[in-house]
Amino acid sequence: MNASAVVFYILSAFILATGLLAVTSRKIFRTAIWLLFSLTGVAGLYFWLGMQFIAAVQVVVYVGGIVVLIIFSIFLTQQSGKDLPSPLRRRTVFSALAACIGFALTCLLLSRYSSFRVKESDYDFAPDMSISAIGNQLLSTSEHGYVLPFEVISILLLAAMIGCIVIAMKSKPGDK
Amino acid sequence: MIPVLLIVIPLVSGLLGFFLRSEKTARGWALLSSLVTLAVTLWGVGVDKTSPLLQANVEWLPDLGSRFAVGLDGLSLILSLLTAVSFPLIFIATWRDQYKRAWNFYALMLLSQAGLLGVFVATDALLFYFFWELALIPVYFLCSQWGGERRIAATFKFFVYTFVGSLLMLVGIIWLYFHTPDHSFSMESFYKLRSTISNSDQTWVFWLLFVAFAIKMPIWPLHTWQPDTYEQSPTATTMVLSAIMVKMGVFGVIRWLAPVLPIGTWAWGDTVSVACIIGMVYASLIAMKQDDLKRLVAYSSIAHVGLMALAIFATDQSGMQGVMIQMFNHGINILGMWIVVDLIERQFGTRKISQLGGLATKAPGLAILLVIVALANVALPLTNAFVGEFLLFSGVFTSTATQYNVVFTAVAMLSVILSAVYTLKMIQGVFYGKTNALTEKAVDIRLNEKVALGVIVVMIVFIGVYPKPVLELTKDAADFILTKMNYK
Amino acid sequence: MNAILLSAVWGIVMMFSGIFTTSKTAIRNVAVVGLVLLVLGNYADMIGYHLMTVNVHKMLYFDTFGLLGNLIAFGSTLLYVLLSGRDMEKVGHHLAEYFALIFFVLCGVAIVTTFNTLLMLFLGIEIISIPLYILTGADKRNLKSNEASLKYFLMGAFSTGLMLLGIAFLYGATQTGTFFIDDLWSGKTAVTPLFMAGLLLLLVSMAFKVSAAPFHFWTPDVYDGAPTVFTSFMATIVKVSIFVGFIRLFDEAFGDSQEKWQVFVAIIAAATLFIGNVTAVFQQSVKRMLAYSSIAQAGFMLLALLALNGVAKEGIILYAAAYSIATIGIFAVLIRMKDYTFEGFNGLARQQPVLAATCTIFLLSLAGIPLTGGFFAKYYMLSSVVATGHYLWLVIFAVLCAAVSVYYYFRVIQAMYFKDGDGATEAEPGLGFKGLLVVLAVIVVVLGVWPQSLLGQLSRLIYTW
Repeated sequence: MNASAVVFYILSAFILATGLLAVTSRKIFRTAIWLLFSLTGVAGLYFWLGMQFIAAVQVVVYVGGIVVLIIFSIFLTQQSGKDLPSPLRRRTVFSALAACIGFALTCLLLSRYSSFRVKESDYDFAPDMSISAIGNQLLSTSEHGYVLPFEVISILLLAAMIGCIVIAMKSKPGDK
Repeated sequence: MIPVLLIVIPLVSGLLGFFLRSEKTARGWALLSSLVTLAVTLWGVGVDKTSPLLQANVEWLPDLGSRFAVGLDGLSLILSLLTAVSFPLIFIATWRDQYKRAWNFYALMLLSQAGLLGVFVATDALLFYFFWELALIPVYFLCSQWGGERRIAATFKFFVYTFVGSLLMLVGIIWLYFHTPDHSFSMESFYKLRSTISNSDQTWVFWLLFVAFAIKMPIWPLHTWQPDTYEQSPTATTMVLSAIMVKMGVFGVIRWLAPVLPIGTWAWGDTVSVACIIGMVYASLIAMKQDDLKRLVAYSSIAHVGLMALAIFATDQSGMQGVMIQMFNHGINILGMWIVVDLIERQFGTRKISQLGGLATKAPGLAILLVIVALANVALPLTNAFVGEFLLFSGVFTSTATQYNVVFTAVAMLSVILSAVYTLKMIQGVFYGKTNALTEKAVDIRLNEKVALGVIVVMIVFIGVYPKPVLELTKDAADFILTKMNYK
Repeated sequence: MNAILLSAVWGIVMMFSGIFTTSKTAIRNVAVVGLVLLVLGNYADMIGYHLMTVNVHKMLYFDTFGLLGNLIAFGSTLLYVLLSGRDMEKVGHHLAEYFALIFFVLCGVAIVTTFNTLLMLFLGIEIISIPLYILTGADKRNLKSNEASLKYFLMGAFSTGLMLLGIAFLYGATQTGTFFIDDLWSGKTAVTPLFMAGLLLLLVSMAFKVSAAPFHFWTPDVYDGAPTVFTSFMATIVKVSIFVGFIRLFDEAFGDSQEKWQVFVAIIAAATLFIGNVTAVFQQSVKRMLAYSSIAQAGFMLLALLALNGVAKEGIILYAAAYSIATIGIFAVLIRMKDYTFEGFNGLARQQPVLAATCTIFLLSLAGIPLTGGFFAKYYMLSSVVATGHYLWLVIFAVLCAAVSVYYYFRVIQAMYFKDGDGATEAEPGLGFKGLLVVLAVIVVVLGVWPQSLLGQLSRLIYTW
């Protein structure tokens, strides 16, 4: 077992443990915080894989964005200090069932594709995974450039922004 | 040319009719249009059978393999003639009926005539389906708008029944279309199908088409819409329904089912025949128990149409010709019956036999005409129905398509006897016996009704005494269908 | 490409028009001009004239099928804005923004009908969805509208998640790791469990977007809660455009593994037809009935997905046109009604004969009665399945469901014509409105008598390209 493997197992154990705590905690605020740790662990895993870009996205979007949003909404709605009511029996059963099926599907796919790994020789041709390369390709107009989806995403964001304004803007008094 | 005119005249005059704004003009307009249609039909009867005037074939939907193809042969001629004769008679007979917004009423009547004529002259399966549905829509509006108290429910039942049938027929037509060698909806291609479709396929596709026709005729046990609809519709529409529309079902079997799927027709012949004779006896028995005149006539119609269906499946020359003639005769006769019923209802405000009586002394003219029409309904010799029913029975009796021909004939005869019973009972109840407070003030029929009934009686007697022209008109068509129906 | 560019640009133009003018008529006119330009631009694309040459690197593929889908979507939107544009003002005072959002939706439509990679499909679907969440909740004072919006958003987000998962699976299933749908074609990609899992997830998420059963639960509440003007838009233009994309996806990507997924589509179609039609029967509100009817109509359109032959592709275009025009017409009348229940329509024929007559034609078209476009639309759907030679049971089931649909469509006709009541509209509709309704009715009838006018064009283009 080399150092890399040790790091991997530590990270995995961290993700699993915090994930488990997130599910089992009876206080909703703590659940959110455990989720935060779990997601950070996943980001760590990406770093371990050498995928800095995805790791950064993971931190920015999930840790920085979504969990913060969750915490906000908890503060706005729930009394965060109180214990949650224990879940319904039926719901527990179905959740467990769904988890089992998901696990089984993952196992099935993994077992079928366990031989699917990048060959050593491929490393020579492996695309450059650095952030600058990704950025270049995203804006490139060449054969494998992604400038079109990039522009389309900007329309999407514009639409979303207008939508937010429509929803959030206060109606003028006297108007309908 | 002529078949196109037959569709276009009522269609255009019907559409224009919506814009008239006076009851009198609308009525006159409708009568005028229907008389022109009649004249064109008579022209069609007059010209030579091979004349190009009787055919028309224009491009319609080339990608779908469907053309606007219409034509008149013996079968469609006699039914077009029935339609063309009936409408002016209906308009004359109901001349005094009052309708709210009458222009809409007459416009819709003309549109339904266009649809009916379209059904009879179409020689393209998709076009046939098109008109089949089109004839239904105006009738739906007519019944729901101007009908009796329970009109909306009754008409809706009628509509859903027939719509289910037609949709199944549409599936059947599409299925057949994909099996035609040249992917065409034309009648010729459909008639060639018999050689390409396997026997087992024929037996189940038969039902897709037959259900639609059976509902329209109607054949027991699919008849339950009919008495309600007849009862609730305005009389003029009931006349259209019973005199012409039920013939659509019979016509459909003769033109689009039996020659296309001869094996299927033959294979299910006994089953259908049994349903027919059950229906005949059952309808006759119920008719005997009816106190309401409209329902009585409705049930008698089920019995008569059952006999026609029975004869089609007998696959016999005289039977087939009998069906074609009897379709015409039955249309005329039942029209006469409805006119009488309408007269009585309008005068006394009731249709209950038990509340009437003694009319013969008060309205002798009406009584004489009714008795003649009623006797024709029972198929007494010297009336037109005798000719038709005689051919029907001889067809069923000598049929080689079924081994139960004797049984079928015997049971069918029973229903004829029953029909004599209820018809005579009706005459007795309405015209003889004592007058009561209601019938005391009865007046005899007026000119317009005299004209309508007079024309009907003349036709009844004329065909009864001298059926030759009608027989000649339909002979070729009957022979042609029979060669196509050859199941061996 | 013209359509994507124009719609995106015009979305921004609309946004700014709200700053420069407060006149609602002016804003509406700007939108109408934009839509006319869109229709023309798209037509120019079809005849080979492009505003600018953009190398899309095969991420989009502009074939006749997709462009015709666009044309119908844009044309219907134009008619829709002309008919109901005035009613949008009543929803709230962000008129310019509503139009901007509608143009963005159309941009998404143009992408969904011409996508060639799963990436673009996903983006297109999202560009359609996000403005719709907002439009659903546009009536901010109305709790039902807010609830509908939130519900739509949550459910939509869930289905988006499924779609992404499906796309990720498919990405893994292609050995080369690409999003291009041609690479999913067999020979290039083996049909493995991973592939099937991705395919089914895509099927489910697309079925969700077109509100096919059993993924339809959001539809009645959202359609009912949303402001009626926007329900009309969602139930017609958006739905049929996504259908065009749906068919495109399964035709181009999974066409050769058809027998593997056909049975799922058959089950979904049967369930959709059944649930849509049967539940519609029990509705008391015309608006809710139309929501269920749109589910039922989706069931019919799924028949084209099942068959996926030439007839089906022609048919879906015709269906899109016939269904959109008829439904837009009915909604336009519905918006003007005081009372949305069936009783609210009582006696409309006497008060507003033009509205009642045109409405009847639209309803007959939806029911599939000959002489209306709806008949040939249904005819094409049925015959596309019959042409495959299998699934005849589904065809028969579909026609029985169509017979059920007569019940609730005719209930409106019965109310309008045969029942007494005051059938009141909110205000006397203007001459222009009535005239437009008549134009729509004429289009429906023309499609019903001579569908060749649209289809001849179509098949000529499809077969010569």
